[in-house]
Amino acid sequence: MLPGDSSDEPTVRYLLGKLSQADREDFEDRYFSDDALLEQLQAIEEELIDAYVKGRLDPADRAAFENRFLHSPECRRRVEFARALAAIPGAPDRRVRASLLSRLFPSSLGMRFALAGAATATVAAVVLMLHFLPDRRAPQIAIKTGPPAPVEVAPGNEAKGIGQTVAPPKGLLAPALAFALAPGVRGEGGLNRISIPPGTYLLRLSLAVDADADFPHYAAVLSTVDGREVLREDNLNRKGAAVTITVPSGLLPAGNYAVKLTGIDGKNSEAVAGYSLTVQAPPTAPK
Amino acid sequence: MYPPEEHWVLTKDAFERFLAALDPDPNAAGVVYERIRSRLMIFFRCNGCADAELLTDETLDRTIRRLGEIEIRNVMSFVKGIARNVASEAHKKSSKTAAIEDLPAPVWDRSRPDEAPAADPMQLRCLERCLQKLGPDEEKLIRDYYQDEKRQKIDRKRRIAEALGISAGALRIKAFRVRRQLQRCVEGCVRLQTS
Repeated sequence: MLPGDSSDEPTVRYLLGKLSQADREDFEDRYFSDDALLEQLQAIEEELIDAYVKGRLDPADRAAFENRFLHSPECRRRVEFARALAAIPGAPDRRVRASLLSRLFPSSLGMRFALAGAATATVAAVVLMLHFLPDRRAPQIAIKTGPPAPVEVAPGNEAKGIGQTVAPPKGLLAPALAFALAPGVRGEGGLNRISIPPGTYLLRLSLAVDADADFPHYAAVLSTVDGREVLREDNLNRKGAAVTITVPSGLLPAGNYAVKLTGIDGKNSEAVAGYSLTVQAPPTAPK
Repeated sequence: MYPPEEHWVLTKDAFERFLAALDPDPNAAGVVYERIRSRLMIFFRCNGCADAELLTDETLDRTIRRLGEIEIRNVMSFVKGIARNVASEAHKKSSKTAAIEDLPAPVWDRSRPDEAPAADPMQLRCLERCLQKLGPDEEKLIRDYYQDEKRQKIDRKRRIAEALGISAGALRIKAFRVRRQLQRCVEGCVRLQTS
């Protein structure tokens, strides 16, 4: 059953076909004549779908759910949507974000951003503040991993050592983060190790590109190490020394990944570089 | 005279007569029609009928046809009666024809939630775009309300409801309406991307 109000139980039992015939018909009589009850029923149905995609139903309820919901294309679409919705984290705390904004950017240029450092062949990952989201979104926190790079970082958010992954300041959420990835495919992600703090919903992966690998466009494929394609982006452009892809964090559970970058020139394409990436489990909060 | 059921086809006129019976205002009639459809879809799903969409259309067709033959005082009650007949017929038919191929395809090994299928990347990109189209308060509501933290979720919902000055039930409906709007946007976006 759904975690929540026990008054939902009869509705959930109806949706899963677990009411007696008499109770079922009584419930149907009511929602056929009551618009408010219909809407409540629909809302609970969506929450049931959420519980299903999150694996929160017990085996009997799961079976009942699948028997009723997965026959229908319309319901399958709703299940797919619920899966996407489950992959986005909750809203950051605006009060905290506003305070961070004023601390980092006291000027009226509040929505300006730290700069991504140019990745070198050995640079691992850099995480900085960006504002690739619309203005109404809050800025992102600045944290940094990997060896020093020419990056403008706000006081209190200085770079840490090689290979370290730094959690955001306590109490802060990071809706979006950027990492610069060095090329080269090494085992276990090489130096490109990142940790995605809870609350992060988008990652920008800046793929460092050699100066001589200049193409009008690029295509990137992000895969798991066993070859399952996670994301494909075409028609990418190079900016400076990097090509950047945006990845919803929900697509990257802890594990090892590879990114293949291809240069596109008309009908010709050429492999430009490969990148390995290890996503580490997020740091757990001290108890 | 109306043709017998097996020769009857839904016409524009018949459909407009049906809408007019639901409400003289065409816009309001459209809303009532959608609610009837929603009720029927839920009804057939919850009565264990495999093809809820087909049976919903069949119920509406029969209702519209009968509307041309008899006077129907309470359309909703009449629709429900037709739906029960249609469900009963479907059960009789399916008990003879059910086959293993009719069962839904397995979705994943649910005993291991870690292996649940990942969200479709295109859906996710569209979802992010559509979230940006919502107002800030609506976006926050969606992110907060549907955040999944088991027990904390209940407390969080209570806090959200208190902050908005509404009941938990009203909050659920509010979130559901925004969710529907969001889902329509995402489906439209995905269609555009794949067309």
